[in-house]
Amino acid sequence: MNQKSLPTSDPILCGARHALFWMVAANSIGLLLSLLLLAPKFGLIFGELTYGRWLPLHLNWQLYGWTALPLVAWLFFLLKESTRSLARASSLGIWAWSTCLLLGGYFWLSGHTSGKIFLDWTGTMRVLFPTAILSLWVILALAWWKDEKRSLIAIPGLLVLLAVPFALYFAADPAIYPAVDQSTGGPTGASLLNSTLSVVFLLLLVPRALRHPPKSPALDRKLRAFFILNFILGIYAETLPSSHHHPGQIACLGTLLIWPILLPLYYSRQRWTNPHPRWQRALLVWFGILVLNGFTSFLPGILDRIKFTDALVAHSHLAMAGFTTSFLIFILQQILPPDRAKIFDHTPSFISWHLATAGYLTLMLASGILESFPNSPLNLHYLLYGLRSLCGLTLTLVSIHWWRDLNS
Amino acid sequence: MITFLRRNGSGIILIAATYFYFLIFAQFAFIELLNADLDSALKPMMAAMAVSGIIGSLLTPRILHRFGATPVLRMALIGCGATSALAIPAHHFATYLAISVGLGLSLGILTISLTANLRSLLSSRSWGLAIGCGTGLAYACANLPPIFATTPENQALLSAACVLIAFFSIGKMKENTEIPPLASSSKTISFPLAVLTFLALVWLDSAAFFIIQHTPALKSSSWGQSHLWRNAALHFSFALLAGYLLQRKRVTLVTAGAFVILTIASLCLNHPDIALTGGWLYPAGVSLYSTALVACPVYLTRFKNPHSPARAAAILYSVAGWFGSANGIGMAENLNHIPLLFLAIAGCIFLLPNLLPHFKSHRAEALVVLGLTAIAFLFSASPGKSPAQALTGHQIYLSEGCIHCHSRYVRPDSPDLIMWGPVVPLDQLKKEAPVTIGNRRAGPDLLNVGNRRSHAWLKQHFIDPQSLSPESSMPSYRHLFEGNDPRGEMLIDFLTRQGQANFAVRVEIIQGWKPAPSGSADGKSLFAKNCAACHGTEGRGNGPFSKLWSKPPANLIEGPFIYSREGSQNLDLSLARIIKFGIPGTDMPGHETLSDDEVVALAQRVKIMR
Repeated sequence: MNQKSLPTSDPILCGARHALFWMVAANSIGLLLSLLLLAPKFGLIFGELTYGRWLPLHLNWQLYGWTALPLVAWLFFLLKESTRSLARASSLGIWAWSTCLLLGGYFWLSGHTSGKIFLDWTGTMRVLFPTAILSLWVILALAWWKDEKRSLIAIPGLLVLLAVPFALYFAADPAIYPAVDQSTGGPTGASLLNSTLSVVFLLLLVPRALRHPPKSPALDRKLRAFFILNFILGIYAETLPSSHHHPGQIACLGTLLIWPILLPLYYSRQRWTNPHPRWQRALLVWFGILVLNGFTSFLPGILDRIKFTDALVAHSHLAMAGFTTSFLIFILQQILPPDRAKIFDHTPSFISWHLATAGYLTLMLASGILESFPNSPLNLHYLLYGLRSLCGLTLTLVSIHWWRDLNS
Repeated sequence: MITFLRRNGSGIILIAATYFYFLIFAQFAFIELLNADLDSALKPMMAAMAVSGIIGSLLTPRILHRFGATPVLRMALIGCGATSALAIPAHHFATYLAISVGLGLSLGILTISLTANLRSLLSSRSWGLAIGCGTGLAYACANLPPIFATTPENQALLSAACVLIAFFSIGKMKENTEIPPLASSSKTISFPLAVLTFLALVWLDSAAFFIIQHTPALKSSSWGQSHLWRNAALHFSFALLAGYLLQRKRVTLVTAGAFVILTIASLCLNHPDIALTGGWLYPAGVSLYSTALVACPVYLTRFKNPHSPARAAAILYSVAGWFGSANGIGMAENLNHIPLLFLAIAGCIFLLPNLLPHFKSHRAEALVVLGLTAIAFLFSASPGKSPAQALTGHQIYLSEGCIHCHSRYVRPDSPDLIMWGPVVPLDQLKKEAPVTIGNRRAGPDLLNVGNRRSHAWLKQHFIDPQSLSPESSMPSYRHLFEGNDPRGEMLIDFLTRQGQANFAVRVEIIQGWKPAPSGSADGKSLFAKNCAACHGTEGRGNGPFSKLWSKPPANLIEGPFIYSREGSQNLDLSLARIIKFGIPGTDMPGHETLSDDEVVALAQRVKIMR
């Protein structure tokens, strides 16, 4: 599908536009939050809308806006021939999704919250948002049904996607809480392993889902086998004692360290029809750092010190601004028409984004380490938080630049 | 630079002189002179000036059409100079009334004839910078300490001198009909939108100006001697920036930027704690929009008729300038603050014109948005209600997002135990719905906070966190205690219940703790930082917060010493424990994050006070 034939309601482009809009919105609020931490008295100008009211907007708009919508656009890309006739409905489904995020923002700011971080859907919104997701699923299912070359392999995928809105509804129940490592109050090694493996699964899926033929089918098979073994190990880890001091938990999580080596090998052996090596390299590098940082942070003696500190804020931003953003932009470059995809190759914004992300991580890591020594004579709080705001400003400006370019 | 000045010099001088006259004479010197002679006549004089200003503005297009630009500008400058010179010897009501009318008429005619004929005064390549330069110069000069602080008589003379210089700088000007029209550009704004935009901006500016002018603390911190150079530099820089951006057709960026800056400045002015910040923002916002206001009639709106800029300027300055200014001052005078509702309405004035065209091409999308919004509000139990109306302290804890900065989990076998203990079993915590273990500790853990902090301490900390914890990042929650709002008390009740069941275990932990110092610390500075606010700098129990508590803080010099009796076996240890953990059941808080070295140094300091 070339750019000239794109209808104005093209769902892929619509999804990308909405995703970048939410990236701008979430980053702007992130910047505001960093300023509120730097100078709390400025919060007085917002009256009741204090730091704690704004934070859910930042978290949820990053997750359900910027992270989720490019994946929705990717799904439309997979069925792009048959979604053409459903393009209008698909775009309206994306608008419904965004409206729910906007309404969610209003309710979170009003103090209506379930208290569940990243699952903060309560009241009517707990029904409305999953319904919007379900409406998109119906469109996808219809598109698959209309596809003359429809493949039965897609059925399990559609069934998994069908479970998403229901899972979201039930997971948002305040009475449900995941397994906890008693020694830290945080997630267990097994849950970290399994959530990272779901990301690995997605990374392995990318070339096939984009219908790129492999250069080396043998390597594909070996990696799939290794992934299944790792997955079984993940299930086994759930049966081990949950403490991060337990050698079994450490060893199981340690198996992830092989993926930053295997994935670049796997990606180098693909026939990319739409190569964007810059963002592909970025995503693989950030993934490597993420896994290494995640594993190191889990180790006894380290996690005991950095738990509840800015060092884990650094890890979250490494995951979102570093790896996830690189991954999503790489995906968008694969599914958008070339003249739109190239906006992400703008060198100054590419460099600014990654430098600001790296700066952010370094600063928060330093802040976390200082925090883990509560009686440290060094008080660099204002310096580190001030520089952090500058990094946040850079990230916001770059996202505005991408959003503006995509809409121009 | 020389080419720029040669092409634009006359225009820059005229803009600078007009603005300077308006700022220094019309806004300051004339009012000061009037106040000195006839204090009670201020309002009628201002009304007379405003009405004659509007009349002068509206008449100018006809006058320009009949006489041409050059003679009208010269006559208006003479009128302005004459009124400022005559204001010095004036003492009677009738004289002031005549000056007010003359000032309004002259200034009205001057601004319209100048802004409508800028194209004959400025180069088509650098008009933006020239307007920014003229506007910035006027604001900067008006803020120079020798000019700002001189007597009103001197200011009136200076204003007269300025318009005289402007008078002689005018050469033979081309009429608008003789100049080819500007190329049409899609980035200019429609005239009605321009009027609404500048009305909101002038209204906001005038209200903020009035509040600063009539609040002595704000006035001295915004326009005090030490801030005038800062203001001059800010005005000049932002006026130049605005000119540069306008030349590049970034009209919305300039006006929206000015609106955002002035809005934040206004919000800051509403809060004494951060009002000083408004003093930094106000000059930036004012210069941005003032530059755009000068450029608007000719450069920022589109007209085919060469006489239209004068009509546009007349309407714009009458409505936005005179009307907006009068209402902004009136609003500030009556309410003494800038209401949030006004800011919201002004914000809509900016947003709606930009959104409306999109609604036309996205009707189905608009229906989806409106439909879902209607459903969300119709079926929500209490979407618009404040959480106060139904909730428990626990729910307020969730609503205010306390979980994002405070954990409620004490890790076993960790330093948490001493600071925030005792441990509560995970199974017990997981029974709460939702679980509020949290994942960040920007502030302390709150699992057993009821054992460590009293009701009075928590209330003071909610109202002004930095008063008790100077380096805290916590926002103020004073709004939870305002009026009849019960939320603050409910939240404190919830917090003071935390850990009550474990009180005995907490006491055991305290009794089992002994400091293990490994170095030394400066007890004197630690006392000043951590104790003086309540116990006073000398330890006599008379610090600035001493009256907040249910019982006055201990007099550390004379006693009585109830919790650390003289001569007791372990006085050092008792003092250290009190400093580290506070005295449960009283308002004395612990200082859990202090190191053992610091606790011991403080204990020694307190001991030698006796």
